[in-house]
Amino acid sequence: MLNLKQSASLILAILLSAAAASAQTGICDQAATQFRDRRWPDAAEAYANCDKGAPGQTDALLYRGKALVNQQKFPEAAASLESYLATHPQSDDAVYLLGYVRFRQDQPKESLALFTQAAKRKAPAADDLKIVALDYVLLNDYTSAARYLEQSLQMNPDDVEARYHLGRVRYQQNQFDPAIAAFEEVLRQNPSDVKAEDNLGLCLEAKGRGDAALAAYRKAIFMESASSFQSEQPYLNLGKLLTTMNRAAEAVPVLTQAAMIAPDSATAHYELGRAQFSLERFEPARAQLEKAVALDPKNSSPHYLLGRIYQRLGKREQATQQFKLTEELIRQQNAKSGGMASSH
Amino acid sequence: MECSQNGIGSALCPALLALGAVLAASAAAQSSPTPGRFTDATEKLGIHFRQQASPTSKKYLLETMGSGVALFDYDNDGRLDIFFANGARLDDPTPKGTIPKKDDAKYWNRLYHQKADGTFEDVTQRAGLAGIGYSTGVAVGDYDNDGFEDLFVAGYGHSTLYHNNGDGTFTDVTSAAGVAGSGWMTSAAWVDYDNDGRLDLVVARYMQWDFDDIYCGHREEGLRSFCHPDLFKPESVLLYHNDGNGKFSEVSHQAGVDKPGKGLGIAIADYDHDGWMDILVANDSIPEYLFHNRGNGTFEEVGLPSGAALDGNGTSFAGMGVDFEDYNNDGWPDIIITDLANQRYALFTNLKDGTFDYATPATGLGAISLLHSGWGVRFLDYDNDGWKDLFIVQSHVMDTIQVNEPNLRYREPPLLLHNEQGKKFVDVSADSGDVFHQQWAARGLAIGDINNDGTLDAVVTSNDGPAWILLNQTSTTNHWISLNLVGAKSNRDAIGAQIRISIASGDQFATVSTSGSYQSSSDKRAHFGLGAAAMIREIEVRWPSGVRQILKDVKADQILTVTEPAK
Repeated sequence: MLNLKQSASLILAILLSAAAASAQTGICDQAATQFRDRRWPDAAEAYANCDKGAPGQTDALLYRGKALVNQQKFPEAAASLESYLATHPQSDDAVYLLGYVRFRQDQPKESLALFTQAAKRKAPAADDLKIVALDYVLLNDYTSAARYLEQSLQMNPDDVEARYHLGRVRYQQNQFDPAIAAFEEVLRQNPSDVKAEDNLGLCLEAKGRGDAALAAYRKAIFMESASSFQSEQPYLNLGKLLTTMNRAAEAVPVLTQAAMIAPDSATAHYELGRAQFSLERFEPARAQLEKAVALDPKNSSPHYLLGRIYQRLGKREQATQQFKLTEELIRQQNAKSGGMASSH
Repeated sequence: MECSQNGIGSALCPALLALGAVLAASAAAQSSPTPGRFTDATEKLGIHFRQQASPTSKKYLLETMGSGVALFDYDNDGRLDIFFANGARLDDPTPKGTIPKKDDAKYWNRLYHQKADGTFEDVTQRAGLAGIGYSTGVAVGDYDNDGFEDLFVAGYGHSTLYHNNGDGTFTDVTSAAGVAGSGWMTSAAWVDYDNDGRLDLVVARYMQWDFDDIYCGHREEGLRSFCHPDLFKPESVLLYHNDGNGKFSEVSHQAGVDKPGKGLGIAIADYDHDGWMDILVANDSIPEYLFHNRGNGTFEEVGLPSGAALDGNGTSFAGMGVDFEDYNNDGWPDIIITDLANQRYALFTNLKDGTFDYATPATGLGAISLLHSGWGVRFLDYDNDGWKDLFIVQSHVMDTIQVNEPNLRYREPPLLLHNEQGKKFVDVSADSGDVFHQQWAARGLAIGDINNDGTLDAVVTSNDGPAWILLNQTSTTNHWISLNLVGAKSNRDAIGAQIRISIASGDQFATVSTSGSYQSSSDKRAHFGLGAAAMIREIEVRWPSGVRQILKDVKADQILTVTEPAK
């Protein structure tokens, strides 16, 4: 299943289809061959040399940018594309690609400006609209994100990635029924999609259908067992819900598995500690929360729970220290949010 | 914390995490609960109140916070009367430093007297209760133990204490009493925190705020909105000790309650059964405060250590209304706090060891309240089945919320939740009357048996809109009792008295209080639903004085006055 960071592969298909090398010289021909063969580092270097032979007079820097995108070297790709656009300002391809690169660089506003610029000259493709939507996701504008994902899906209804993201956006909007519909459609097209099944569980949980959510999480875990990729997420979701349902004893082994899959996940240790706390197993809970705090020291939640655990263990001073940290971190978070998003 | 494995950008992570601890409520309820039947009797009963928020183009935050209501019997005729707090004129723009004035009768607070036929008459002018500034909250208590309920009206910049003269009139004694306060005062509660037999007064303050022209929202789209409280500095509650001579001393600092907060709601209960009343303050967007009464005239703020300060994810929320009662009949006061959509109303179950468990998901309240924003809230047993249900009045704080979040609404219907034997809450609103299908910008809520028929009724205020009198006509044959406690050594209102009643199906508990909800004050009589029990085996009253009183074999279906014995 694709995610935002893997969207490059979709772009890759477009790039490959357009891979008509324009270099005239031998080095440029060599670059084109390497590009066709997906030898991205070699191609990027060769296209750089190709451009040196006739600076700004070929498409070498555009293709170098594409090769760099495929290596996920986004700052270098951006530099190459900007150089190319300096001499080829009418290149829609370059503007669209630079828009994608800015998205990958977590610069959604710049990305949107480029897509808007490109769209004035050439209608965006379904994939472009998808990236525009994901820019809006990064800007927390889920209404716009949903609109562009819907448009993208109108052009390409079989795009499971766009459908998945639409489900995520609807989930973020607390529009759980449309989110469920989206995830179910993803699963219809790709029954082994672990993340869609996992997110289906989140939606069911949010709707108060706890048992159905548990079943979805368990199914996601089962589906994942057949795959080579292991994610802690369905274990986390299952464990969290079990704890919430006062079934912490069942949650502990599930969350232990999550922490094993993702030993650097503060969330996994936090949730495992929370389950242990519910069971009044304060020493194991302490160990987990101390890990969570070490992994994510700026998050107030683990400090709060660790304080409560210390309190139960009779470690009053340590508890007080954690509660003070909690309040301070919340104060800092509120000060930050007050400056950024000022409306109620 | 990470959430990248869910396959979407980092911007989505906070909201995803916030949804981490969602409910356990199974959709399969065992049996359908009894719906309520609340009917709108406002017009029929002669109530014509309309709160004036004075909206401006500047979107001053004061405009959206509403005013509260009190249900109390000011003339001791046995029938509840109604007092509505009201706003005042705001100019557009209003100069910084302004203390708004009620310069027109439409801004007056209103006192409605209930006549013998159950209808109401406006007696504001005769009573002398029109008020002076922008009134917010109201708290009822007989602070001088003369047998007549007095009235504290909180406000922006200035609060007012009215002494009930016992002849249908009130006298403004604010200056002599020394309780005018300062800043933006919201909810208030009468409580005898030192058990000296006199009611003291605690007043929540929202934050350090003035009529500054701060633009919040999307300027480019012309979509101005109310500013988030994070932009303003917190302000502490005010605690006034009743010195017994008509004067009060402000003791916030000495008593240790001067921790700056963003208080909107106040409720009281003795959550740890140590014989001293504790104070809960619902704070907006910072941790909630629980002031534990040490019994020596001082308090310790224990919100975080008690587990009642944050939600189950350790996150703060926009606390607004609050109630502090025992919903699961285990004898220990629990907590409900309303907040904004996407946060879920916070229910904290008392674990009997000085700490609380966040019970919102496990009781089904999470799924029910996810998309709602609540203000006034009270536990009440609307069907007299012996379990305290929940009545919540709702509305988002932002009148433009739908623009940014299309699935949310500014105006919302009220919410009625049936208590399933202390384990779960079930939303019965849809079947409980037309009023639960109407869209209101509700704020205040007071609960009481207005017509003395043995079922609890409600009065609701709205922001810049009308009030509603909702009579409870729920179809039930369940029995009930209403206990009107009169203190002797204790404060005369018996506020803080703890009552246990014992019937065949089990025990129930209540604390006498007029506070709770949002900026409102409710009937002080303690109401119990008794289910099929026509007789109460035992009633135990633990008076604030320490006196313990037992009544045996008390007949149901009556309003019983219980006077504190000498010993």
